[in-house]
Amino acid sequence: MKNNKLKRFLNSYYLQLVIVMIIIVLLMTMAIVLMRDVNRGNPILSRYDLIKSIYLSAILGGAAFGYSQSAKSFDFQLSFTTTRKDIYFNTLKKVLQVTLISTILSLLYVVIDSYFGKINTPFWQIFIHEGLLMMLELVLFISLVGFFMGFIKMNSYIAYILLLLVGASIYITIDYFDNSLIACLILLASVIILGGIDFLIVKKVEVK
Amino acid sequence: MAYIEVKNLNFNNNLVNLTINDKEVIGIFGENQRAINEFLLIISGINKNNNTCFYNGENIFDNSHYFKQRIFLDFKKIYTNTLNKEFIEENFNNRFGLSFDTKRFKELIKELKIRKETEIDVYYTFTQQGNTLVNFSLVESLNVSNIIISHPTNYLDSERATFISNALTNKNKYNCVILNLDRLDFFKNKLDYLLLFTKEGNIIKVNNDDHLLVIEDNIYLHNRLIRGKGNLVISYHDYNKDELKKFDKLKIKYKVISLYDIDRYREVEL
Repeated sequence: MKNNKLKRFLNSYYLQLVIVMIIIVLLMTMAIVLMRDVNRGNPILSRYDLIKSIYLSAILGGAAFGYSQSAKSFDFQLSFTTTRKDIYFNTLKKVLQVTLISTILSLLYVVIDSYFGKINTPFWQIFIHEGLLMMLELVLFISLVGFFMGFIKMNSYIAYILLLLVGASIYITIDYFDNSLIACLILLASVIILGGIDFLIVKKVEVK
Repeated sequence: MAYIEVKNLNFNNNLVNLTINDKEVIGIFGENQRAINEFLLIISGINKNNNTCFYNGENIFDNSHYFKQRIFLDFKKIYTNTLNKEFIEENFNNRFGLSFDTKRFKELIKELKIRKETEIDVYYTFTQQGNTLVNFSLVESLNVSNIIISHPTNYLDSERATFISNALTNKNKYNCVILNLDRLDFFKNKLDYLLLFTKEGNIIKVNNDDHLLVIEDNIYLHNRLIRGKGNLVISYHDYNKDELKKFDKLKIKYKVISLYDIDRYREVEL
């Protein structure tokens, strides 16, 4: 009996998530402290490339998840107890969870890096000018685009390639405009509009 | 008490009015599987019904109260590649909030000899018979009172098909059962009524003691169901005496058969 409770506690999703996040934060701290001297004066490597790679993983994962929810498991879920609305909001919830976790990790990264690098710039400025806010919005945007592509029954290989191209194009475009706040706001507006479009499609698409 | 009410559903240019009650087992049969699937997707609340199908007075489309009490499975499809009951239980609990009886699942795997119905290739897959049996075991192990099943006896031998037909028509376990049948003979005297989907696009509600007509194909036929052997056609028997006399006059061979003999007459001549 006690063993079962302990086993269930240790297998709990949120506990495992917290443990993983603690490990990531410890690894980030080690990387920041050890790599500071390597990065010093290095024009190629940005000090935030490590955290951007976390966002990149989230973008890739979000794209695959969004696409699979609509292309592969939409009919399956409707066969059981999940309604169309449930599928949409569950997808959105999971993508927002990933975005939130990535944001918390990147905030911690910025805080730790600012402490060790003795940087006094406000974190929100770092977020905008170093492209972190844009990466955050890209996680949401690419996941929702993946969700949309699943409904139009796009071939999975073509979908993933297109998603990478779309993501890369947006990143380069916004980076070209020096990661301005206006560009980020436009991307945020696109996320909201795309979220609305996906919701309408979920309600209207006919299952065959 | 009515479980689902269908009021003036415009289906294939026909108006359908139907009441499916609690504790009813309904069979659906016809050659036009596309039309049947379309109908089942509407009845299961998955596709829109233009405000014609109701559960407790509410439209069933995307209705969470209705969805939580029903499942819709096609036994031809693959729903699981594993027999790991703990894994399946966890998935059903976490994803769908459904309770899964692992003990019952284990019993059925043993009783139906599902482990023998596997093909060992690069991936571990079930045979078509094995897939049907696994899907049935999933349904039996889930705590759901209303089920809509397509092809419940897909590729099964008669012994296992009889077992499954007895289990799926058990009114002590299920409140309402709707079955899209591949074969009628396994469900003889187990259905409350049948919905026949004719080739002309009609939906006819028939009782167990209604009859069919096996007849040589001709232009005077209506409510055709399926093709028989050669130029024979099996149609619903609502022909009056004059029409039958006409067939005799034109020397068109025909035979009146029971509803549940349809499978036998698909493969024999008159």
